[in-house]
Parts: sequence; C-alpha cells; structure tokens
Amino acid sequence: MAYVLNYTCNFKNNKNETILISLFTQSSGSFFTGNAYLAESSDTVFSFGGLGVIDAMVAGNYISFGGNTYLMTAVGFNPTTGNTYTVTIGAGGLSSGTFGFEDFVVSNGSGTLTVENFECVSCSINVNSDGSDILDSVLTRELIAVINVPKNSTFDHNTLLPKAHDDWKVTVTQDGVPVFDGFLIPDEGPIPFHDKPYEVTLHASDGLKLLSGQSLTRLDGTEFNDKHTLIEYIAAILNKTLLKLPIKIYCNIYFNPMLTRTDDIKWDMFSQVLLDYRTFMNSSASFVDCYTALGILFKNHFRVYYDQGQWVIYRIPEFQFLATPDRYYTLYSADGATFTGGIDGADYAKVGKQNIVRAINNNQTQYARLANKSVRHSFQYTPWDEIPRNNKFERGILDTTAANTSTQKFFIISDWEYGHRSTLPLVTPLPSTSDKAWRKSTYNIYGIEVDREILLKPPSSGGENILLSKSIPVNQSDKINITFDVKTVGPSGSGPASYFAAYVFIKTASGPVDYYYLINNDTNNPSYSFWGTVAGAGASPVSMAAFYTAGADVSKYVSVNVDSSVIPVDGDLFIALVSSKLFSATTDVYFKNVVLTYYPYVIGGYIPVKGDYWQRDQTTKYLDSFSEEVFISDSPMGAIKGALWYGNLPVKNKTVPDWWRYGLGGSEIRHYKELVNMGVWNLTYRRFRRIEGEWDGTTYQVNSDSSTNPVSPTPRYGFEDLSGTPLFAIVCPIKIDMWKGRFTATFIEVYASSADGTQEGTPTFKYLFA
Amino acid sequence: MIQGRDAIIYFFVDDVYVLYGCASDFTLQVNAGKKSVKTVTSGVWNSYAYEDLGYTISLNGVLTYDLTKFTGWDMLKYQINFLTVAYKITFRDSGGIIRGVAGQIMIESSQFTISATDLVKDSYTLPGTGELLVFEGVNPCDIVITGLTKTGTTIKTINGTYTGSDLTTLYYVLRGNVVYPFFTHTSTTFSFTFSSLLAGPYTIYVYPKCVNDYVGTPNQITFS
Repeated sequence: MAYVLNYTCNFKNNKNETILISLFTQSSGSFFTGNAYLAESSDTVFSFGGLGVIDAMVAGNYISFGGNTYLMTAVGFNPTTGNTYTVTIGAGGLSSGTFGFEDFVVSNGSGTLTVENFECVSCSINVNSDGSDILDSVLTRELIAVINVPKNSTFDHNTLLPKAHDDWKVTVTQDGVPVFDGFLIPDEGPIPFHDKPYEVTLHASDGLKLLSGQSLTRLDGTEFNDKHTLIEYIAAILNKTLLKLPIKIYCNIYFNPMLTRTDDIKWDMFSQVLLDYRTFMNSSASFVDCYTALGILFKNHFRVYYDQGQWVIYRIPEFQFLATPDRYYTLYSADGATFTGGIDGADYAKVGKQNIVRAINNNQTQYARLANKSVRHSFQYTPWDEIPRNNKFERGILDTTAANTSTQKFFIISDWEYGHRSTLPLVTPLPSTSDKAWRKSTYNIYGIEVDREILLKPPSSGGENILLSKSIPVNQSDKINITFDVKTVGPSGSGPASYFAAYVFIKTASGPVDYYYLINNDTNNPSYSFWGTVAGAGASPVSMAAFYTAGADVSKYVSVNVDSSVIPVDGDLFIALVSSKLFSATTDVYFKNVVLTYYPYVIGGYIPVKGDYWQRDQTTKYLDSFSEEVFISDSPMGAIKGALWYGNLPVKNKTVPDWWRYGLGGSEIRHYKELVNMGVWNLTYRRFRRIEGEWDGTTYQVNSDSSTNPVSPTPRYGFEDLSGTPLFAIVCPIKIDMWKGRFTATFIEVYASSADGTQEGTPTFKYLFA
Repeated sequence: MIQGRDAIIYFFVDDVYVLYGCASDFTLQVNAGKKSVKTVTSGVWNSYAYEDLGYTISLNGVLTYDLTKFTGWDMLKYQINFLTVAYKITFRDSGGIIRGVAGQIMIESSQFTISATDLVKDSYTLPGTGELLVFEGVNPCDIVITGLTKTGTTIKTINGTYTGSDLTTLYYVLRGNVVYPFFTHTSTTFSFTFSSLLAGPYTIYVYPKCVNDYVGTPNQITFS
C-alpha cells in the first residue's frame, strides 16, 4: 500500500525551527507504476522504470535526486520501507546531472496530484503514559495540530469522515528530523459546522495506546504457537500500529551462554531469549491484547516509545548504571529479522539557564520522590493455560474428506500428531498412518456447538494408533494430575476388565533411563500410580488404564482420574491417547475432558511452590515499601507463564543464577529478576529530586559533542545549574508545543554520584509456597 | 516606535513595488514578547528572555482612487479576498542614510470615516505576518541583475551579471513555476545550463535571493 502526499503545513516556530506537518492518504497502489513527466503535457514523458531512486524528501515539497533538488507537486512513499522515497525514474529520462525541467510532477497514471499547503495555527505533540513515573512502560505519542482551511480548499469534513484508521498518515519533521509518525483519528478531529474558512483540529496517534484493542498475533496475522524470541513478539506488537518503524533497543544484560557485544556489537538478549506463546494467553484459547503484552514484557524494567522515526526500547536501570564507558544499542528492522549494533555517544542533554532547554515562566516546582525501605519483585509460577498445546482441541482444520453434515463436523486436530506405534519406547515423529483422528463437533439446529469429542480410528494393521501431544517441560519433584473420559463405539455391552487408553510419559534429555511412564495398573486401586521405567514387554496396561467393573457397558464413557507420584526426573512430558484393536478391528475410540493439571515444586520441595521473589532492604528509616509482580523471569521450571528460555538448549534458566550486566561478565552472577529488582531499588533507595514545570526549547544539546536532537525520553538530562550536574530522566506527561518551541514535563533525578546505580541493599531471594 | 514624516511606503503588486497613495501618516510598532527565565542561581532579581516578535503598521490617509498607486481601495480588495501583501518602507535618517524595513502584512481592519464637511478618511490596522526585514538602502536585497544572455542556437545556457554582495542563490520562474536550479555564480556573474528546454516562445524570469532570504528584483530573458 502506497501513500500519497495530499496536504502540508509548514511553519517556523519561535526557535526558528522548520516544522513540517505532512498528511498522506492511501493511493490506489498504482502510484509507483505510473508516469513521471514534465509539467506541460507536450513535454517528453518519462516512464518509471527503476533507473533511479529519489534520495530524500526536502522541506518545502522538493525532492533530492542525483545531487540536485527539484520541486514536486506530489510525492509518494512506500510505508513497507519506512520513510524511504522510492519513486523511480525511467527510460530516456533522469540520470545523474543537471536537468532542465521547470516542474516535475508525479502522477499515479490517472491524473496529476497536487499538494495543498495550509497555515498552521498551533501544533503540539503530547507523550503520555499510565502514570507519571520513570517506571511507566508504554509512552504513547499523539499530535494535536490546528490548521487554517481557506474557503477554496479541497479539504472539508468529508475529507476525514469516511476514512478508516490507516487512511490518513501523518508525519511531522523538525528541521528535517522526524518527531511524529502516526495516523489521524477521524472521530477526534472536530470541524466547525459551517462553511469554510475554518480551523480544523487534527488529532493523530502513534498507535501505541490503540494496541489495547489489538489481539496478539504474529506479523503475518497467524497465532503464535511455539517459543519465540522477544524481538519476534515485540515486532509483531509494534507493527500493529501499522507504522513499520525500525526498533532501537538499549539493553546490555545477558544470560551466560548468550552471544554478547564482544562477539558482535549487534547482539543483545532480545534476539536470543525465548518466551513460550502461552505466556501471553489469558485463557486456553485466546491471547491478551498487545498493550497488555507490552506490560508483560517490560514492567518495571523497560520503557517503549517513539523517537525520531524509530521505536525505542530502553532498559530503565541503564539510566543509572552501565559497566562499560559506551552506551550500546541494537537497531532492528521493523520485522525484527535483521539487526545491527551501535553506540550512542551522548553523555547527557544539557539543561540550564545558559542552554537551549531551560526553565521558563518561573513555574517550576521541585519535590522529593519517596524513598523505599524495601523493594520486592515477585514472580508467580502460573502454569500455562494450555497444557498440552491445544488442550481444548480448539484449533483444527475441517477435514473435507470426512462425513461432515450440518449437525456434525470433523476437524484434523492442530498441534497433536496422529501416528502408529508398534514398539516401545515411543519415538517422535511417529510412524505415519492412514487412519485419522478428529475433533468431532456436534451442533444443534442453530449451529451452536453442543458437544465435542476426540475420535480415534483404530489401526488398520497391528499395534496401536496414538494421538500424541506436544511436549511439556517438567522438573523432578513436580506432580501432575491427569483426567479423561473414554468410550468405544462399535461393540456394546461388557468389555474387558480394563482398557489401556493413554500413555503419559517423560522423555529425559539424558541419563540412564530415557523414558518414564506413569502407570496405574492396580485394578483394586485405580487411582494409585507410579512412574515406571519398563514399558511394553507384554505388560498390559503399560500406562494409563480405564477400568471397568464386571458387566460395564464400554460404549458409555468411563472416567480416569490419576494424581501422579512425584516426577522422578527433569524432562519433557507427553500424553498419547490410544486406539488399539483390543475390542475389534472396527472399534472407534472416543475421548472427552482430557485435562492435565501441573503442580510445580522446587527441587526437594515440601509443598507446591507458587512463586518466588527478590527483595532488597535497608536500615535507613523510611516508611515506604515497594512490591510489584513481574511477568517474565528466569525460572526453575519451564511450563509456567513468563519463564525465559535460551535458544534450543534443553537447559532452561534454572535456579542457578547466571545473568550479568555487560562489562561485568565473570564477576556478576544474578537472576534476571534480581536485575529488575536492583534497578528499581537503585531508583528509590534514597530521596531523588523531581522537578516539573515549563521548559524552553524543543531540542536539546548534547554536552559531549554539541549535537542537537528533538526532546525525547531517550537521553539523560544534566541540570547544569545544580551542583554536580545531577542527571535526570524525563517522564510523562510531556507536552511539546511545536509552535512556541517549549514543553512541559517532569524530570526525575536518576544519577548524582557513583553511589546511584550501584546500591545492593540487603538482598533476599525466597520461594512463595502454596 | 518608528515614526517618520519623511518615510515612503510601498506595496508589492504585480512583481514591482508601487507607492502607497495618500497616506497622511503611518506608524510601525514592533512588540517583543517575553518570558521569565528565573531559576535556581538567579537570585532575587527577575530574569527575562525574548519570546517572540510581532509588529503592526497603522496607516491613515485620504481615500482616493489612483490607477498607478496602491490606495485604500486596493487595501479593501486585499482584505475582502483574504490576501496578504508585501510592503517596504524606506526613510532617510538625520545623517542622510537611507534605511528600510520590509515584510508581509495582512489587513486586519479598514476604517472609512465619512462626514458631510470633510473628505473621506481611511485608516488601517496592518499586523505583520512573518519576519520584519531591516536593511540599508532602498531595497532589502542589494543584488541587481545587470544583464542576461543566452548561448547557442538551441538554448542551453543562461549567463548573467550582477552587482551587490548578499547573493545566496538564484531561481527562475517559467510559466508560473518556481525552480531552484542551482545556478553557479562568482562574485559578479552566474550561469545555468539546461539539459533540455521547451520550444518557445516564453520568458524566463531570474530572481536573486539574498542572505536575509529576501528576493531581489528579477530580470528576464525571452526565447523565441
């Protein structure tokens, strides 16, 4: 989808900065295959043909090409490549050199496009978050601009009225530097109810706040269904804004085996740490919204925001402490697939009465932030909602070859593998079978699903067919409960004393025994179970059996409910539902209510564990304390929400802490969550300054190289009028008046001496037991 | 406040500055906005910085109709059509030096005073929009294009000469379109080469632009 520039608003503010607001609308998509030609219809027509790429957009609606600048009455750009202007000029026309065109027009092939320029009455950019603190995770950006629409303008109420969210793209540049990208919000752009001329308020959003209405899916719109890197989730979330911006991440912590910036400056943890998709599920069949997902990822540790045409993710504790002299970042492409590294050379942004950013209007107030006696970060061991994957058999593909009717339909079950087994131990992938297993859904006359069963067709040859789940990581000392209902359809009346209905087994990564089977073979005590290492060899049943009393009707469901013994080893647990020839060659086997419940224990645990926490305390007499739950963490077990994984190694982040801040490798061994806890502790261990009010300037000057950048949450701001030049972080709400060249914001002190960022307090790590 | 009976006010109409007809007096008032910059280490004294600048011209005269000068009737026409107009004011100081100011104004209010025993008097409030240029001499841009020539049987190059010291760039206007084609220039000459030009006839106007961003008087060359 291409966008075409329709309207501009270009002015110089009180700081003599050139502010350019551009409004683009979606083109038909043929823009880049149309013609470029001279203004006069009799002039030579130049076709687009891929001979060149326009270098840049120049303020005032000019383009730069081949080292020269030309006026254009319309330009377009391709949002899939960001802000790169990819209009190409073709055969017989432009190459490098000087051209004699008096005007240069770009058409979409159906007519000349013109750009109308408005006068701007006011323009402000607001950055907001859910609070007004440095720990706020999501900083949203909005634009409010008032333009003057003259009486003969093509712009009117209908210009915005029928449009969808992504129909009107808005960009704002400040001396050519992007300070806003977003889309107009049509229902919040009031237009006077009378004829032109009038003033129109344009309201646009960068889309971060609107993520609360977007369910988490992958970039291509499909569901996450495996372990994915953090950057995969983040790219998918941020691309829901439709802006397709690069992602710049300031993060310099690592799990020990990871590649670091020593290997290549581009490496950070975001492309190496994995999270299971079930971290983001709010039930066994649906995902949280993208805004909530950002909170899960970043709470108390990172903040994400727009800055200079990029999404920026900043690790908050790095405002205070870096073990290296350089401030590293990794710059990812919009899809997260490619990335490079770099160094941010800025030391701090200068604030003071001799600087661009300075206090004005005498309305600043200063406070002391509360200091904490203790800071705790807890992490709940919440088992995945979906154990095993697709446990409700919700996801499936309609089998069009099955006997589907209006009242019953047959679905091939996703994430479960149906195959044949003739020997033990089970191996994956299973030998294939032409027999099928379905989710059989029954519907009433209104099309509402009223019953759901799992139907397993019997093996065509000997052995068994089994419906095998995906693995579930379990630990020694954990427990599970397995329940299901089973019946047969074919023979009726009494059956055998028991029917071997399922395998529940653990595959270990290594060790003397590769497989452990959960066995309940005591007819007199069917709820008793143990983990056996011998399977097959004529033993029947060899795992989970359904027992029948004498004369029981096997065509009726019988329930199995077994609490496991203590799991003996770390490994991957599987469930396999079985269809055998025990009854007859044509017996179908049905299952319902297949439920696995997971009870995590820590090694040697006395009772189930429900979480852990890191806490830091001090003896200084403060009365406040801070206690928050975080949602991602290293964890002693893998099958819980938010457990961090590393690569494809079978070793997840165990109780052995092995995280460290870059530059301290070899001397630092910590939990991931401890680094979160240390960060917040250092930001609140003493009373820090908080200064709010109105500030002059919309750009800041860097102390180290005198370069300037638009005011943003990225730098540390050094207050040079204060003794020692303490460093501050800017927090929301930030309201930048682009017209007057000033902003209102709050600054929170983060660093006054080397004591800030290096406080350990009295640390404690403990488990939370049920 | 700048007030001068000896001053002359021009308005820019149809590419030239024309005299304003029948002004009995006019006033140029420049105002600066301020903001407090008092902060820590400022002590007890107030401290201010400039915030913004604006100015207003007040114009009084006798309403006349003049085909060659800019008058109150033209002022009314610009106001009704929501137009702004460029102006220039020059005056001679006590030392005989000519100085000037220039810019763009809008017509905020027009007032016509009519009585049975007197001439119709008009007065205007003209707030400036954009920068107020202050310069020495009669023109805000001291560049004067003294000659334009063309080379070749098919038109490929325009050469020009100029006087003045404040040139930053030149552009040309052809059929209403403004183009900045990157003329190359020395301290006295400039040139520009076209890779192609249209068949004539047409006229190219070449404008100089000064360091104060003000556009000087154009010169022109006609192609057949």
